[in-house]
Amino acid sequence: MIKVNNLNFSYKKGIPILKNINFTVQKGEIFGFLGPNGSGKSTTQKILTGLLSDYAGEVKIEGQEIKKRGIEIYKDIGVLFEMPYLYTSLSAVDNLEYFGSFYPKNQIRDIDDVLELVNLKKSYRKKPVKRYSKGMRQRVSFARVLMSNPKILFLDEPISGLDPSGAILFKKIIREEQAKGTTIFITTHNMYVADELCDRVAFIVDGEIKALDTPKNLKSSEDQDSVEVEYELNGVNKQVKLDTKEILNLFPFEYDKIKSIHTKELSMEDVFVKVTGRGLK
Amino acid sequence: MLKQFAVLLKKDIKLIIRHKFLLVMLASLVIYSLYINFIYVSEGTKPIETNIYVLYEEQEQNLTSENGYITTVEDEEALINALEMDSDGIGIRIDKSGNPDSVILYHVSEKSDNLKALYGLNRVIDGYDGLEVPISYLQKGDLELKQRATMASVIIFFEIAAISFLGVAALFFKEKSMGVIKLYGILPASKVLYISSKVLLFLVLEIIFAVLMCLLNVGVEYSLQILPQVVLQVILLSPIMVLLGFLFALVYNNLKQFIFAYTLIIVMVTSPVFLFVTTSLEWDGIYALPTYYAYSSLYNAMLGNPNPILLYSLACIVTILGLTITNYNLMKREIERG
Repeated sequence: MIKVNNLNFSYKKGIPILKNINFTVQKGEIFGFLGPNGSGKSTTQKILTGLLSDYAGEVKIEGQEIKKRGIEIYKDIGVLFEMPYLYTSLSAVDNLEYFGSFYPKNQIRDIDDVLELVNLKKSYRKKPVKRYSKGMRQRVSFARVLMSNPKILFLDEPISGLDPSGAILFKKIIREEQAKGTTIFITTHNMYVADELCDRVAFIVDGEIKALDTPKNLKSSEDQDSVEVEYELNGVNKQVKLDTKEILNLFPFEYDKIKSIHTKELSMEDVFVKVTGRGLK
Repeated sequence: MLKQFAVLLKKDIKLIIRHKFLLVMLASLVIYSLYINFIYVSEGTKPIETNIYVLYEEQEQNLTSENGYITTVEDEEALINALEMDSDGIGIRIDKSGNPDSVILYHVSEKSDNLKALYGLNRVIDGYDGLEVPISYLQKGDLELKQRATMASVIIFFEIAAISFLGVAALFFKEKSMGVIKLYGILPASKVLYISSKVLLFLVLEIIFAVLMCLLNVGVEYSLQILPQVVLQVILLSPIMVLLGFLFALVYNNLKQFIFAYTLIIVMVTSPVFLFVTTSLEWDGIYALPTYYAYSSLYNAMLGNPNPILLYSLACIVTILGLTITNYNLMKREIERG
């Protein structure tokens, strides 16, 4: 569905922004693109969505080089920006009617249905967007993307600005879209989103992909050679992290009762730091 | 494509209504028309700044009105001297029958000679009919019409060059601040359509404004004579100013920076041309300003004396195409940058 081969990009000053990027996203896959600010993930998304065309290498969407597809490609892709860009003087319904009218009629979903899907309160649907909270605007933006039934979704920080219930809803919708066969490309620096939603993730740092695999494999590939032991001594709760080899020789400390022993699983963030040598900020 | 264009146009109409641009336009039409009809024409016929020097040859003086702007001189030498001292003055020599023998205009540009001569004669000779003076096409009564046409041309030009320029920029800044401009990068619609819908919308508004301005201020009969030429001038000028407003809005990051540039343009490029086209003032530098030619063309069309159109039209069309391409590229850059 998306194929990127030897992608290189630099702005006019000649400083390379993307260096030899390679990856493929299969149809119906949720692919996470993770990296700190300035790592090149936004540039990659701009290239994939056809906004930047002065790149070197091969970028194919549905088997066709993106440069050669022209504006027709936008009938097939939907892009959700991190910020909810909408006409604030128009209502949610007016915004959706307006943006929807650029697509073929048979491709468009019913406006009420998509607003229902993103759970926008009925009483707000015909009020100007300037009266909405950021979360409500984000819901309308997502509805704008969904209403054209795109084959590929590009989501930039999809749950940023949402309250917990909104985040849960968005994740549910993303999974439903995947179930319909939509390919989803998520750009984020939220490791929990990536871990929870993505089939595969790529770590990008300084314009280079440092790792690409499923979240599970990425986490298990890093040695999990420690256990965390919680115990009580003289009525005081304590905990200690031990090398797994150490417990083979029994517990090298004095205790009355072992309360629990469990492995300390690495989070995606831990993996990212280990792989890239830096954090996500 | 036509459907998408209609959608964009409908949205732009909604926006200019919601942001009260139409109200501003309508208010300016009413205010300027009231000004022309009730202040400018009645007050403007007085020679506020122009002195008139009159030489009566071998006949009794018969000044019809006395005020500080009319001075009687004794001989031709005194008349010439007075005009040399006052380069903007008008000299009128009256022969022994009481008719004007000649109107002497010292260092006055050709474009305003006739107006000023008639102006002076109407001040000096009651019921002057213009028959004996080497000014052939202006007759008594034309003065007011000409004044009305002149002021209407100033307002139409100002409306296009300043209000539309500002209007389209304000509209674009609004879209830029809402971020929706970025969405046009990922919609299956051409960016040229986005630009064109604004050009067409403002063009239609300007044509309506110009037609109403003419009808309300120079009368139906005269309007019908000049409107085809005036509308043609609006068609050539309005897209240029809208595209320039768009370009400035793309180049400048915020409305404050834009307003600064806008003020400079109004003060340095637009306003001076009114002065140099409609008065006797001369300055070689004015010919370097494109706005001089744009306003001259509109002004002459308003006076029923249109300039040759072919070369001017060609220059306008090339400018419109150039600005459209530039704006397209700048808009693309703006979207990429987001």
